[in-house]
Amino acid sequence: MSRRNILDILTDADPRWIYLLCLTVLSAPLIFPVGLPLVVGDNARGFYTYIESLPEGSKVAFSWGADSMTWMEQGLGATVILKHLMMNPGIKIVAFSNMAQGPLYWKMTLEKVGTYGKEYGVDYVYLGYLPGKEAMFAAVAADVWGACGGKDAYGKSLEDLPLMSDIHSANDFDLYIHLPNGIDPVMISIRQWQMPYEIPFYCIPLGAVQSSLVSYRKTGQISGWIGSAREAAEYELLMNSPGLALSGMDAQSFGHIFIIVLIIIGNVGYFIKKSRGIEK
Amino acid sequence: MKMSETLKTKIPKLIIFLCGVLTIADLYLNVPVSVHNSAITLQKIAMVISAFSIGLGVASILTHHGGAIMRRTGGWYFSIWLLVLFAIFAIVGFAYGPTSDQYMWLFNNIFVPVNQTMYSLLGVFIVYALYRTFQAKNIEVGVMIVVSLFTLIGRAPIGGYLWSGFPAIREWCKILNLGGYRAFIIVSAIGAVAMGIRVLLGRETSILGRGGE
Amino acid sequence: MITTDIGIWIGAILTIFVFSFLYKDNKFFRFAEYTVVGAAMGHVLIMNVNAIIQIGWAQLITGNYIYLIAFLGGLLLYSRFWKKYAWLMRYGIAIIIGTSTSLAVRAAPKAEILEQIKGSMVPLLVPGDAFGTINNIIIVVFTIATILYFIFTMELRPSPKIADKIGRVGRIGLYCALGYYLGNTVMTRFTFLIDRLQYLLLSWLGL
Repeated sequence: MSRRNILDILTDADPRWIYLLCLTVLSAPLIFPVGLPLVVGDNARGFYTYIESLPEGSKVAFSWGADSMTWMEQGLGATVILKHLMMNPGIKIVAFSNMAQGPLYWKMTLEKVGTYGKEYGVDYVYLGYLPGKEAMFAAVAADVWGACGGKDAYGKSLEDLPLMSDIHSANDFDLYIHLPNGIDPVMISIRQWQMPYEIPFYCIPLGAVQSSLVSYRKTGQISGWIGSAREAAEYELLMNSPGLALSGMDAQSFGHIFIIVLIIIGNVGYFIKKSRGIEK
Repeated sequence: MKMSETLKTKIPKLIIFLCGVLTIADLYLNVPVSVHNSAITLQKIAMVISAFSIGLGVASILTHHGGAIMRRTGGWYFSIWLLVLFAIFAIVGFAYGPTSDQYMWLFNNIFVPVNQTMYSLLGVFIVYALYRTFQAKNIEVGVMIVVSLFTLIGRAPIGGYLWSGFPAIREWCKILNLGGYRAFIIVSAIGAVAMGIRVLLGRETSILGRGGE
Repeated sequence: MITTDIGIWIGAILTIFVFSFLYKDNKFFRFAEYTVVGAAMGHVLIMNVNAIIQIGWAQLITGNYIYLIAFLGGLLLYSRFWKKYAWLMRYGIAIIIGTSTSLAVRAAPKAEILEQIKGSMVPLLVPGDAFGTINNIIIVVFTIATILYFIFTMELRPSPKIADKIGRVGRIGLYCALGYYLGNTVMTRFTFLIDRLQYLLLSWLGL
């Protein structure tokens, strides 16, 4: 077997070494934080300003589609947004989940952020997990009471919850926030909430999905968002409430530099091999 | 024969068509309140049936692993563990409730770590995949690599720290993305609507699944 | 300092089992795999049974007998386990498909086609803003070229050479979109990984 030269080592390394390097590069800044500065962008600032500008008594519909596989990124944004909504005494919230894990994450997040004196049934209500995709979103938008069987997540009748007395459809909300677990739920929200009821629609998509939604952002169908860990970190800065998102930014920076270096090495190696006729 | 075909195919297609007519008429026509309410009730009925359909997946997996245990196929002891864990989650969930402290302890310490770690493996795999395969073999791929490099460096906080131009270039890459992806949205939406109309008109029977035919 | 919480220890060990796959496939990873499947099954069962009771059963017992259709349709789905009567599941599927498809079809033309076409109709000349002009031209050219690239069913006139050039521009537009998507995806994947590393390093090991 011929000895591997430096070009082979650089361009055809054992994947396990790459995995180990990747884990090391991401772990080091977590243990030894650098504290690189972060500039707040338009998306985070726009979302923050909009919530701050909501008048007293505004009712927010929050589709809490939390799922463990996407919570790692979306949870960062969802936590800080829920905190902001709870901190604002004038805002009323009605939340529901289209994902089976939603109720657990709702409870965990609420315990983490606190209710800031908000009273259940008066200032916020949680309707629980509602199955179905397109049909569920359409049913909730058309008839909130009927879609959840007239009861909240804890089995209480909606008649006993003062907040629900004048909430019957999407027409009764001032803002719709969606925490989607992919791109399809966002499309469904646009079709069943934003388009028919012309309600301002903000979402907390995954960073990977955000690029696919830019077209909807430009047409105004999505009024604003915070997607990705970076925008969640920016929101934490605006809230003056540093959390997990901000603490992971150094690792993100180093990880991104690492992957850029690898792509460049891979391409340099490819072109060198091509010029030597090793690779066609 | 004819009765069999009517029951197996024609009536389900008719149900699809009627559901479609009711739902579409509700939005586009000035229908009486009773028709509007019927359309909403139909959506709620679909929600309940969807909940039943999730159980199908559970039943299928139970059947598969139960069979593996009975036949002692490779890794059958893992199947026993699977069924034991299923029983634990189901019993604790029904007994104490899915948001009880006991259930959430199981959820947070057993399900979440494994589930999230499985998805996090994609992070390392994408690094290796980009390193090995992301090579500028032609102009189009070269353009893709350049756009992705600027997006990467502009996205990361260190990009703005190194040079203020990186985030600005990344913002401009959004414009490049807009044209290409918008076309994709329009074209796939046209395809989806065409396919949807075919389904509602009963031209697509494959969508009904196997039916013993 | 390393945690003494037994729950976090269990979670950390399971996390390491999954990470062991990076070295090679092994029984520890398989154990973790079966763990997540069993747990997920138990969880969806509980949540969906509760949802059926809350939304369907509650309506039935208050006299709303139309929901019998929901229960019948849902139970008929399970006929798939009997080959002779498997066709009965089509009734339940028909209601779900009919409703979901029509909900999507009725809204998609405006939400996804007309609005997007409207969004592409930008002025090709923005007075006093060269950058804006260039951007708008790029949007319009890429959108049209990529749509034409996707349409395979019609022959582009006046000549295949022009069609090929338009197709090339369309392909470049598509690759730009893919490159942008890839750049954004990396952050998401890294966030997942960083979350797990934070769990191990900070919550478990207390570093």
